[in-house]
Amino acid sequence: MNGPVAWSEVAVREVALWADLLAEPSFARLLEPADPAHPLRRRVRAGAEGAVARALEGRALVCFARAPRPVPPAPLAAPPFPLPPAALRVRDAAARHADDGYVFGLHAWDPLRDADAVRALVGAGQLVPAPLEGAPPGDFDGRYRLGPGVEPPPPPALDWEESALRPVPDDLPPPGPGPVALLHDAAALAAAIEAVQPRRTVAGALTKPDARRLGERLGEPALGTALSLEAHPRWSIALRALEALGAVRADPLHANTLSLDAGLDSTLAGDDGAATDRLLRRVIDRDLHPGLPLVRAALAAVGDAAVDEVIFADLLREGARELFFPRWERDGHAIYPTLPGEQARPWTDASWEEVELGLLKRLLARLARVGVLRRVPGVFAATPDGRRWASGPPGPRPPVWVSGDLELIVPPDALTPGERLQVERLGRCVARGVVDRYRLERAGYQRWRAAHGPAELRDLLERRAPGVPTGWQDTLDAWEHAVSAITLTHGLRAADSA
Amino acid sequence: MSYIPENPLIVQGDLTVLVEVASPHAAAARELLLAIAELVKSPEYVHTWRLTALSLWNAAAAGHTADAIVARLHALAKFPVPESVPAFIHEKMGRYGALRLVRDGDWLRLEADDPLLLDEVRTIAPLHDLLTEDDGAGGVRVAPRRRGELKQALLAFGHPIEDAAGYDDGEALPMALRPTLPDGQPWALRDYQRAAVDAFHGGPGAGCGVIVLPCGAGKTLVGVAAMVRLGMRTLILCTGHTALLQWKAEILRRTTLTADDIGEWTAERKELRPVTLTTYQILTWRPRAHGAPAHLGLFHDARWGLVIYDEVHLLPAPVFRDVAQLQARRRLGLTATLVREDGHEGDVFALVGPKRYDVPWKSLESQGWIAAARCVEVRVPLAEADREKLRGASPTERFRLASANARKVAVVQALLARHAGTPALVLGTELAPLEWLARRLGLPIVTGQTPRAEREALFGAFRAGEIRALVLSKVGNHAIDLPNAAVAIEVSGTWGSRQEEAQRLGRVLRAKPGDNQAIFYTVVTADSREQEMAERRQIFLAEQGYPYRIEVHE
Repeated sequence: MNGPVAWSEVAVREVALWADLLAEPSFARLLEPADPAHPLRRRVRAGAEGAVARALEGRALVCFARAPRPVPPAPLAAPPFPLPPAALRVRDAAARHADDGYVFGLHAWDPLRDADAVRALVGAGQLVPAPLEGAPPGDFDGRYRLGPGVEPPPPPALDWEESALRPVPDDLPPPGPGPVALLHDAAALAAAIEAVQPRRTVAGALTKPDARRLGERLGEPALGTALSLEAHPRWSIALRALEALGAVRADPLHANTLSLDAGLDSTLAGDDGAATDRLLRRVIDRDLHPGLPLVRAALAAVGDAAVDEVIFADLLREGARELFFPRWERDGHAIYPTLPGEQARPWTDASWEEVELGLLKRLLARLARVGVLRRVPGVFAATPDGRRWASGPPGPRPPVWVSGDLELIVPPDALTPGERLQVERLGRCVARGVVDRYRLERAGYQRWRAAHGPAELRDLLERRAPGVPTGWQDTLDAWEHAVSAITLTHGLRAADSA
Repeated sequence: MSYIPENPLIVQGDLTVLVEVASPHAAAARELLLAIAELVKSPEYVHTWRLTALSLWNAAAAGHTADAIVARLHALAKFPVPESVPAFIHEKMGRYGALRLVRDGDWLRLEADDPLLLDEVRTIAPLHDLLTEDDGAGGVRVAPRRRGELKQALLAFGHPIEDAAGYDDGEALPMALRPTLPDGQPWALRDYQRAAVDAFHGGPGAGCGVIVLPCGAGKTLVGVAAMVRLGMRTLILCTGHTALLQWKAEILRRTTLTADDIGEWTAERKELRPVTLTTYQILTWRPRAHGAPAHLGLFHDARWGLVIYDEVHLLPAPVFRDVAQLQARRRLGLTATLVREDGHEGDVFALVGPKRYDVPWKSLESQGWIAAARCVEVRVPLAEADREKLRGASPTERFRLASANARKVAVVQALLARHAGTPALVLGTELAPLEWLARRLGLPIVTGQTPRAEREALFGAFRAGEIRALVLSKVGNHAIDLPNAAVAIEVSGTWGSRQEEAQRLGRVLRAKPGDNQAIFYTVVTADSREQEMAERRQIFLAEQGYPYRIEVHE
């Protein structure tokens, strides 16, 4: 008989701790019988996680609750025979059109012409059918999941320099707030929400005391006193960004408590460019996504110059038109992808003007609105954040300084958004200004450990700080010692447990 | 945002200024900040300073201009300076000198270039009885005895007065520093001590202020040198009788004054001499519970040219009132930690004077003037029997139980064995556990109840190396001169007192022959309220750049 799909377990650092824990019969009843193969672990009876946490807290024992660390999928073994060129072309198209690892055949390939290529990819495990409910089996138009390790290829190398405009026209508007700062603010607010677990009132606003507590964590004393979060010019936007990313949700069963979605870590992962790219894909319509790598490549190529939109569009039409839509062949004619019963639209130069060029203009307008581009009709150029999205941070990052009193000083551009989320989790922001100052806290470390391994902090400091006082490691070791005595891990699956 | 990596300063909108110590221009930044800001903390890598109204008025008093300061900040900043900071500097510095206090015969006169400012001051209700009448020439008359009160009150309303009324010279007392000690050894002030004396006597506003130097850096010598340079009758206020005797000994060793010139105003002796030493306890002693302090008149009993406040951070609140009436006398405050748990730093500034000299502890350590100290927090689990008692105990009781943890004895024994042969002090707060600990360890103990003669005998034996370890209660927090002590083991403390922790480290900071090393252990009960308090206590030292290594004893 199969065991449960997922379970929670209590783990102790040393077997001797069980004697103390199980001395309380009511606590022993919350756990499954011991498994001799795993003397340090005991499964929690279904639904008893809350009771376990409360029982430990009641006995003044530090219980460290965590989610299991995500296990990365094993990379695919190389196929026993090389994939044909047509399959490789389809795989690249699928990867380009995929969102969150899923692609619809209709968007990426021609179901008739490319059926064999899709079969080959499915056979090699590089595409996995993931049909929506009610879809017919073997539907080549339908939904597929990319196999592990299938990544989009770089955009085609076009002569972007042809479209470069130097000097930059002076009628371009000045850059406004951009997405990189927004990602950092979203990370800060997310960590504060995780720590405070604020509640919403019936009207939808955050309660005043919770807003004040958020302000204390964010180093914003005005929050909750002079200004509500919803009226704050900076943090209201960060909250909207988190909502747009689907990173926070209010659970009506728990008094409208806002909680953080575990997926935020992966949204913010990587360098500034990668995190910005994920944000853009979340806030820009899906049908515009194929244009994003092309705009990014053009900005990277022209550097500080502006881009002539007409030449840019011509370059795409000539060299990358099929990146937007796959060209279908029906009855000897090239057409756009078409749903059954729909009238086919011919693939012509005139239709480029109507379809792709329209999409491109919408995309550029959205990018300008998000703060990646400065644009006037016919010309666009990167904002500082746009350049970062395209080419990475300008020059070396300033260092992060750490001091013996457990303070972290973070200058602008010193961290990626993912690293910012870590730092915000680890400590309380005591001042937010030109540089941000954090004081590390034991409770913060405990929260951070729920989502990170101890080596990650050491790596972060080695990467970003010119030196770490010796006292830090001692303090972190002491905190680690305290949090690792008793661990309650939620939602383990067989793969995690192994 | 433009970024100049080699520049040292980061100017924050909240008026803090951070200095990257490794920057090639860090020395220039420090020179600027010494003049215009207050050092908040100086740990590794980045030091923190703060621009305050007081620090900027100080700078203005020393002749700096707002334009020049702002230009230097821009030139040394890594990142653009927030616009609010130059605006703050201009606004605050513009206030200094806007009101002046000058002598006008037997009266003082408050005057301003801007008649509207004087009108504004007249409308401040708490000032009504301090300002007498218009003098008919655009100024206001002030009674000389209200000089301190007026300065204090106007400062509270953000109007610093430029006090140009001068000081009353005390009775002259010719004296000089001896070039050699009684044993024939030559000596001279160290550079930083001389700089501190110069800062007190030189520049605008000279003759009043506070010198901040680490424990063991020779603050007493700075006080003695300041007194000698002035050459007037001097009143010296000390923290206790032991400190008083040390002052007296130093004056006799270092100056041409004789024992006849130096008087003690204590419980036993009431000697009013050209240089008189007394204690804060004597000054605030009241014969009746609600009566007036009996000895505050000492301030006015002689024509003092200088009043020295040793450990000015301990200056008791009742003394402030009399200090306010002493504005015509020169005043010098000395301290290692200008941290007052009662928040009276502003009164020290207004009534004793601005900070004239400050030097980070680690700077003197790097020059070898004080011992290089390592701090270690030793965590000890609570004895099993005591863990049961914690359940349901009040926070105070939990702290007391943790402080008196019986398992600390074995740890202290182990630490003493680790440093066998090195003079060591065991420091604590709670008397009963401390006496029990001393009995278990077989060590002599000095508390407030130890008779003075016995106390001096024990200190003498410790200095002579006859006793290798000594247990001290809170009497060891201040001005105990045991220069050979190189190990301090703190077994309990007063809640989260930052200055107590700093003062206790100070007991082992006196420069040592040889490797010049000292070690400070603080033994706390693991995972207890005492451990939380220890973290708070350590803030000041951590700020000064002393990291705590953690040892866990199972």
